[in-house]
Amino acid sequence: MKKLFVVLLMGAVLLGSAQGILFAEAAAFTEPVTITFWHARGSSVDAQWLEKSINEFNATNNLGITVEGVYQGYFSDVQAKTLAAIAAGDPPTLAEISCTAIPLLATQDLLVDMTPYVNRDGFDMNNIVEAVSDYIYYNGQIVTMPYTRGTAIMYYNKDMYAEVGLDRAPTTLEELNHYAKLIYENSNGAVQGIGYTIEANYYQHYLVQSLNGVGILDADGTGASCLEDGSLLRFLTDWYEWTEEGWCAIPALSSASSVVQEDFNNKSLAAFVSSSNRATTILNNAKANGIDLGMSYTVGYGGYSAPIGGGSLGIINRDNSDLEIAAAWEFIKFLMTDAQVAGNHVASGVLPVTYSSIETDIIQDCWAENEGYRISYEQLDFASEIAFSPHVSEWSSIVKSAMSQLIQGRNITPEEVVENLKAEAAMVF
Amino acid sequence: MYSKHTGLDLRRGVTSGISFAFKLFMLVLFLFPFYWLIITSFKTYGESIVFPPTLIPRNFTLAAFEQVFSRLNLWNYLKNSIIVTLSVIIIQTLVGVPAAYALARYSFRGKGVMLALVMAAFMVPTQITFITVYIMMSKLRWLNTLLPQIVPFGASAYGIFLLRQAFMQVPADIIEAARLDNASELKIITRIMLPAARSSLMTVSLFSFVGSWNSYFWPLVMSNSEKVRPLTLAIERLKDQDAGINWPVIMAGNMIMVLPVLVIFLLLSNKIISAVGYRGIK
Repeated sequence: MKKLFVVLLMGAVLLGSAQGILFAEAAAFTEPVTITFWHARGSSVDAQWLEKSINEFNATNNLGITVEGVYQGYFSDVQAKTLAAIAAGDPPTLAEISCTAIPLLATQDLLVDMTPYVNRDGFDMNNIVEAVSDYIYYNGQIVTMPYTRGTAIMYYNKDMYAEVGLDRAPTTLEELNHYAKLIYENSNGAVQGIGYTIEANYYQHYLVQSLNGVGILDADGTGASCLEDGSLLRFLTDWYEWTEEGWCAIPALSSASSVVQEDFNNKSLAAFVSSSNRATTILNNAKANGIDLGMSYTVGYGGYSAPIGGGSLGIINRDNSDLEIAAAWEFIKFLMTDAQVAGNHVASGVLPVTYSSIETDIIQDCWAENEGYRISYEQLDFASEIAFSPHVSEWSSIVKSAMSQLIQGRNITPEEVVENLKAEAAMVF
Repeated sequence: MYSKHTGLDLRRGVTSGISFAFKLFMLVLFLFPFYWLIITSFKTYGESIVFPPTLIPRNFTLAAFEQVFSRLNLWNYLKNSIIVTLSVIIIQTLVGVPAAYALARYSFRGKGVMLALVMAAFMVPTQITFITVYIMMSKLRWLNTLLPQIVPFGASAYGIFLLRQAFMQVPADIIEAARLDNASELKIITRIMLPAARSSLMTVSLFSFVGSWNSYFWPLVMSNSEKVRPLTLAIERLKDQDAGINWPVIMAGNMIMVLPVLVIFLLLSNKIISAVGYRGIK
């Protein structure tokens, strides 16, 4: 009896899987379907581009698919709302998910495996830029497609750095710090040389990575050797001293990213590190304020070092019909066309995620006009992603809080931060 | 020659001067944010972030307003805000007035418990209830409608309590006299209680208006479609701190948001002051 039950169960599972595959094979859109797409693209250029993409897809697809984009706030808001909606049984079909949230969703089987659709349509996975492919796969499944992936860029005031003798972008952290300090001293403290906001899994990750090779989380995602090998302590000690000396800006307690850019546009800050995904807006603001903006590789200890982050597209594997899932795949396929990938890059600064899009005139013309966009792509040679791990979201949040206590709160020593993090790590991993 | 009279005048003058200075200080304190809101909305982005800030725009521009209108389908959001706000006020009045009248004027079993429930509801923050309400709304398939923003606010504990207090101030003799004249309960409410409690009713409506109009967290959680989102969420879309907050655009959006509240407050200010400084029926 038990055996019979197991056989029946296996049969049911196989049949269910086969139905999914069969639907992927058939993709018969016999009736109009509307799918919701929750995203974090609210800023001016982002929202305009996405709206254009959605309108174009809705107008041109002949399958009766309508996509309704819903802005849900920042990545953390999209993640929280998606999880709440899944729990409530009313999730979106498609969501823009941050890299840190992908492992959390994938390990709980909340993302649809797109492999049957990829195979059915002959979608060329080798065309996806290798550097942004880490968060696509989980357990041999294709759980996301890269969409708003980005890397950090050093945005700097060319004139200010040239005045102190650096007429090119710095190539190491040591060089950057030297000239940042000079700018501060020459201006009698009126202009700070560099500013970082606190994004532990992004901006600070790459700086630690340049010391230990893995960043704040080990490559297997199950530990943080940076706590033991001295790399985190060294970086925290350095960062604290830079801010203590004054030439490195202390991030504001709220809206830190915006404040850094305001200081830069006000010419009280000579350089800052921010995402390449903001390149167009930052470039426009700098132009409006008469700043000759330099966009350069980010630098770590001893040379170039950079993070990769941003968002990807995931189809939610709960309470969505086969028809809705198939419709979401059609939209993803549309967003992955060369024209869309290239247009997305040029409009906002997000990374071009397919090799073929780079060959288009749209991107080549853009790169010819502004090398900063090209640099963001070429920097991928030196960039690394934080490890794919279910712990990444929680651990990043803990490290961020600890860094905030040190750099913004200034009521703790770097040694104490590391000791506290060791205690936290023992509970997380 | 110094006289007692002159000394008194001097003291009165000093007191009056201090009083005036204090009032002026308070006026500036309260009006300055509005002034800042207005002038920033007419500045360029560059001017909005200069230090020291300018108190009068150097380059007066309407560019921020143009951006607000071009980036947002403002009329849709405005329509939603108006529908939600008016619906909440009307339903709250329809529910709150009879409830407050019953609690103020009737004796019935369980009255104390019901009043205690109203007071308890008064103290429960929405953050505690939103998950259960969200699941309820999801199961009802209401999330793509305006109903989750209206129905849960159909009764206001604060409104019922305030109206009950106002109704209790009406002398029982007047009500008895009306009943002797065969006035129905509805007539007593509409002809006697509501006119007597007009100021309180205005205050309750105004607070409901401000609460609904400015509501951000609830509609954010309870809406999964731009079609049913109110103006507050649209204004939030103008903010992108990662790309640098464009203050003139944010302020222009807020100007549009705050204008109806200001207009209504100015129109009803006498009633509100009268309600807050309640004097009873003479």
